[in-house]
Amino acid sequence: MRKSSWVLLGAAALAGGIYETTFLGSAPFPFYYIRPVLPLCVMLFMLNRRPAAYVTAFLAGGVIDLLSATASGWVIGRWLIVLLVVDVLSERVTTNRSLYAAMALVVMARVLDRVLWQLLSWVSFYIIRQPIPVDSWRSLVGILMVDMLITTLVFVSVTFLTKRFVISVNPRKERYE
Amino acid sequence: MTLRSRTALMVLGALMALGILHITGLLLPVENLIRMVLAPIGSGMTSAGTNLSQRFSRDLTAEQCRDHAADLETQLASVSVDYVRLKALEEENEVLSKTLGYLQKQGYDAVMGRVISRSGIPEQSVVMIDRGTKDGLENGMAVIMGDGIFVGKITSVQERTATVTLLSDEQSRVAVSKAGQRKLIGLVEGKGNWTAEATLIPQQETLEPNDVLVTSGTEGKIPPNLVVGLVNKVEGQPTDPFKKAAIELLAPMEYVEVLAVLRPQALRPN
Repeated sequence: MRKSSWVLLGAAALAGGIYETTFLGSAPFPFYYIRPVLPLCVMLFMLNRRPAAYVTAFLAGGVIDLLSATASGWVIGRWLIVLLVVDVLSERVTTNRSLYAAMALVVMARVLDRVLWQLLSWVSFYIIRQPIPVDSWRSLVGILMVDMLITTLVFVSVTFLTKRFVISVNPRKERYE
Repeated sequence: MTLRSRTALMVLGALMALGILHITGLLLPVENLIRMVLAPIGSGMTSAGTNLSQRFSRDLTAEQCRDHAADLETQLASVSVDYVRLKALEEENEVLSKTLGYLQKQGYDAVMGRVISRSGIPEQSVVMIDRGTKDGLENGMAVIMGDGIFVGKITSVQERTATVTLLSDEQSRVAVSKAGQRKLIGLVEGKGNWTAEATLIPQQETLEPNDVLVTSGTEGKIPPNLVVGLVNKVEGQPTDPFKKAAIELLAPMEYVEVLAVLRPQALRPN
């Protein structure tokens, strides 16, 4: 990646973190479900931009941890661990680069993040007798729906703008490349 | 070692290092600096979100508006009587206070703070403001809006930011009295969803709808007579040891953007 791309990525990650920690808490309710950072990190894996995905999660998660009004539940750590798992899954399980694979990875990432959050809340309760506040499981359904919409939008945009996910058929060889 | 294993080791190592540096407090100056730099952007984004919320807030139906207007008229009648009585008392008090030089010894001053962020979890009413220990803020200080409407307490404080737990949060508790009486009558507890309830009110206490509840002044850093809310409905059987009452909070907690923290003058930084 070029230097300018890294700068843009850093700015976008900071903006994403600020959006998820400040705007989300005060905006009208439908915005509550729109949490673009994690799906975008997963999409960066699909685009083979692994370091970019980790940097985005690090910056956005850090901003959320620092600016959160309540105990945020160590977002930076959760997201990096989730991305490590997604990294392995994208290489060993969902090896193709289809829209369904992207959706499956995003769903796995979100669910794993929620499970880690719940675990942290329990650990916090047993250690310092103060549970970390956690989103309801019901809200996870709405968040997952929006995640899939974001994934579809990003996937389709990338397909239109680049040839990354396009499967071409070589007319001479008459087979997929 | 594969590239993936190296990445995993690097990420886990970085997380461990961050954790240790955070726990030992070595990262605190960097964290405070980042918070200070991002606070104005956070405040702007929160303000934008609040404006959007207000724009999209649900309009009441004509029937609800009529009911609301009827309630307000009842309250106005009750408040008008109090107002006349209080006006007379205020004039008397002004003369007495001037005589005693009391106004020079108020004991508190207000530190204005902007809301940087709110809790993303709907059940919680917690906000972060852009003032901290550098401005003389401490845990437990009272936070007000406008002309002395109590909205919450400071529950955690960093160098340049502080967390305010609003009255409607389920963790919030504040000791209250009836306006005009310096006697503690119970606690106002947050019930989530921007509502609160007065609890532990002894049966012998008389409490009626539209009574004004104020802070009792029994908590160290919360001065007395800050308006907490109006009594809406009193509940409880005569056989119960305590009764409770639904409270109408007077400040629009979901839209607060600027708050004032009451700081004892002795803590004012030089």
